[in-house]
Amino acid sequence: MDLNSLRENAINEIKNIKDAKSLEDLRVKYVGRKGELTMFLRSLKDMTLEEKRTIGPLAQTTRETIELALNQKLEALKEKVQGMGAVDITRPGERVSLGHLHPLTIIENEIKSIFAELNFSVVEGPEVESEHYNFDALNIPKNHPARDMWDTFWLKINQRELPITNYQLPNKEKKDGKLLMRTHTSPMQIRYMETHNPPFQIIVPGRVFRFEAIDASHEINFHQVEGLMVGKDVNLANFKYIITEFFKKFFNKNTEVRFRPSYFPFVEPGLEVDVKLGDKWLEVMGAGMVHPKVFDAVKYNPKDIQGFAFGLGLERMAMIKYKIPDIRMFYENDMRFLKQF
Amino acid sequence: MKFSYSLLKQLVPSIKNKEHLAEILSLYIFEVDGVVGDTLDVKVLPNRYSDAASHLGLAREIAAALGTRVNLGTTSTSSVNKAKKFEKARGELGLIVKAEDKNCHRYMARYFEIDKMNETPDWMKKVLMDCGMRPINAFVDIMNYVMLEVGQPMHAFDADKLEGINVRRAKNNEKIITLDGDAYELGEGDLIIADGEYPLAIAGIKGGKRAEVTNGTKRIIVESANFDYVSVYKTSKKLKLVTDASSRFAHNLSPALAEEGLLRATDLLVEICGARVGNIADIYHKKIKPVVIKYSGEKLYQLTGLKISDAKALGFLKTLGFEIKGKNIKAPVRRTDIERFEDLVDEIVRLNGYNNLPATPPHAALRPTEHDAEVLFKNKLRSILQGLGYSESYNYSFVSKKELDMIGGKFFGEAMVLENPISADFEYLRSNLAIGLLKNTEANFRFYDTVRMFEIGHVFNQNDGQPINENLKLGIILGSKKKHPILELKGIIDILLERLGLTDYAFEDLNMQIDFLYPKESLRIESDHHVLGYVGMVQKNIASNIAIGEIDLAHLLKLVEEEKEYEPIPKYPSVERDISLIVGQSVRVGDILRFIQGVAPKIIYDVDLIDYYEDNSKMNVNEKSLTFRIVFQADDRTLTDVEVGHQMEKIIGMLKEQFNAEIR
Repeated sequence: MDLNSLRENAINEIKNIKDAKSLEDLRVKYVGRKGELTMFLRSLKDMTLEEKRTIGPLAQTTRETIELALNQKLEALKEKVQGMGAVDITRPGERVSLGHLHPLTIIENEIKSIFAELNFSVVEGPEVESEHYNFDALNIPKNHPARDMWDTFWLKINQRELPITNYQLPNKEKKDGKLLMRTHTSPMQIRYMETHNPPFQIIVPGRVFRFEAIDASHEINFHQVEGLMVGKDVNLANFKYIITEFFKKFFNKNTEVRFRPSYFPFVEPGLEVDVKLGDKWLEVMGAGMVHPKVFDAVKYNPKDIQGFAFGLGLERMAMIKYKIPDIRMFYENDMRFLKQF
Repeated sequence: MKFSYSLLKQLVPSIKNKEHLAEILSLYIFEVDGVVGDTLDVKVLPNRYSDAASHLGLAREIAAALGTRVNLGTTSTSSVNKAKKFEKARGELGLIVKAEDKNCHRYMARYFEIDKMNETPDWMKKVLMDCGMRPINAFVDIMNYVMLEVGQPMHAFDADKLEGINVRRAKNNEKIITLDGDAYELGEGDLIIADGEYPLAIAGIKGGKRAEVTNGTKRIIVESANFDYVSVYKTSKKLKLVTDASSRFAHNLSPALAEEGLLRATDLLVEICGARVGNIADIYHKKIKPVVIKYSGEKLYQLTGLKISDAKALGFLKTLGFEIKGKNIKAPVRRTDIERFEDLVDEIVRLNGYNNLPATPPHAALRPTEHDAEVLFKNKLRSILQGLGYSESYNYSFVSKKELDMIGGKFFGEAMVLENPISADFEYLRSNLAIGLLKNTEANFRFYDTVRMFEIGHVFNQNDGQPINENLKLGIILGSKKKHPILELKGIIDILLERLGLTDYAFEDLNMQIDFLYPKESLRIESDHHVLGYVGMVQKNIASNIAIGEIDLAHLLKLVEEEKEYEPIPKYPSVERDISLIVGQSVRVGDILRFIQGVAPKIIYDVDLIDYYEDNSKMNVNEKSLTFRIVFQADDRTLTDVEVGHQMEKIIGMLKEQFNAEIR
């Protein structure tokens, strides 16, 4: 029998095999210890040197071919048994259920990471505040119409001798001060400066509250990020630089930023910041140089110290960035909404 | 505040068009909310009502921004106004004007006689209408127009209907009927204009019906006064009566405006109604002194980084009406907002244009950031929970009484209540995160069979005589219509606590009053003898298929920070043994786990339930099959088979005895 027909027979037989047992029999038949090919290879030793040289390599490749076919067939049979190979791998991958962070968290994280790169520390404060921190110390006196800029939720109880756990109140507040839901994150300017010495730069993300009718652009609670940088010569041009860089990182590097005069009792000069998106200027931030009266309130010497403060709304940033039309969507917690982030 | 474009254009002719004006206003002065027809809606800043909440005032600003001057033209006051002033003036009718109360900073009044009330001229009607006012009659219109032009609220009384004028505090329960016919009851804190006996007007807020000017009025007293802004603000708030006048006075107008207003009104009454002019009364209690501030270009640079010549900087101030004497800057008396150097800086920087301010990176020492530990902790929590398939929700901080009652239980403490809630739905501060999460889950059940959510937020409560608590909490919820959710949620809390690095904690029987939980399938989470929170099934009458948990994060953070310590890798190998047993249905796995652990706490490193099986067809009803894996390990030696075998025998014996277990 010649090698070629031996190979062809073997390949044909392998093709028709239906189970592993018969395939094993076939392996024994050809390449087992007493298999046809094995026997043939053994007979090589009786051949002439010339014959060995021509037939030897051919015999070797025949053996490799048959063994490869046997192995391939075995894999194919295995797959059949294990039910593999039946998957259409071009079908779409299956969805594993993943959680989603709230869009306001995502926006807050982006803002925090940009400012962290600029060496700002992230700190937080209480949501129930005293009149002192929320208004008086920020140069917003009682019975001043400037207070009307912040419609306030008041708590029914007076503070009397009761401190708030975790958050200290000034002594005089413990007796007669009224408590309120903070209307902005600015009270943390005071709390931070009371307990830290400049120079420093911080941002304060947090929830704030306004006594307002709820509609598509107003909520009774929403979120702000406050910023404060104080040092010996932190100036308004520094503010312009930091904030321009921030908005370019937050939106994109071609974003136009513009600064306009404004008024907040705790800064002077006071300003507002707009960014241009599409062909529209959108107001995104209030800011200014910290008012000397605010430094007085925390017993810094305004002669030695200066700095800037700013505040922006998280909901507003998220609405602009994701084109969300209605602020109420953030508090409905509809999974069909949350899943998009 | 509404302004008339045509009047502004008349005062500053170099305004090109409305778009041009709106841009100038926004960039250098005040934000423009909108332009409709000839009406500009301008957001006059709260500290600028004294000098700029008027057409003249705004025109001064616009002219300064454009580098030009206001064209006073027809608006300047003429010579009839050079009349004498009296401390207590007697008019032709022998009228006595007094202002007893010092909260009236200035009271000016002038007597006029008129034969016939003429028609208000069209140009004036147009300005009034541009500013959203309805023309009424020439007297009233002139008063309103002067307010719009000069910024001083004015009032006209019918002189035949009153006897003398006094500014005083109201008596308790004193009543007044306003021009609109509304009755108000006043108190001792309220400042009024009265004659001998009765109130004529609520000072700075609203005129009264009694001395109302009508078409037949022949003799009038025109009032141009200045009242303490706190007093006006308080009364206006108390009466819930906010008028054009009250909101202006509440913003601290300068007493200097009173004179400007009265003189301008005189002109217009003469011009339009042919009025005969009487004397002026002027009672001036609180004379204002002009503020003088030293200018320094160096300080300007130090504060703003803006390098600008003194001449240029002072030029801006000059166009705004500041008087410059060397380095001494005297602010116009109408500028009640100017108190200090920083206020001058504002004027210079904005008129120079924020566009022209350089943007310079700050010089600061490079120090590591110091983020609050809570900030980082929350981030970690969020990312772990997100990875576990839980989505984040943000709920209102306010809840209703009904919702609090539904959750119930001493555990949450007493919820704090708002003095001025927006509605009964938002009357209380949330004392837990469960209310919001339950609502979210039920709402999402409309579209999903499984809802996994969490929230991180502040909750508030107070217990009798105890301090007010504001705490950071994690709430986590699993709603599933497909399987009983409690064990997955318990497992999630396990993973969460482990990932955060807390190993020393335990689930114990609830034993706390939390009304909305089903106590048999609820546990408290304890660590270091403190209750960290709870996890449990919600009672069926409140919601179906929902498991929920809450964890006190401030406390957890403290524990995690303390606990974070390296644990040495064991030197000696561990030995694992599995044990399968059948026990009665009522036997609890937690008890068995604790029991096994207790047999040899020194060398039993871990006990796990690895198989749980209930099948009524194969086993007796009311039995369950459990397999535990016990890991033995010693710190100081390799445990021998004999030693472990001995312990296993002990465990088996005790399990039989204690739990009536059948070992398989």
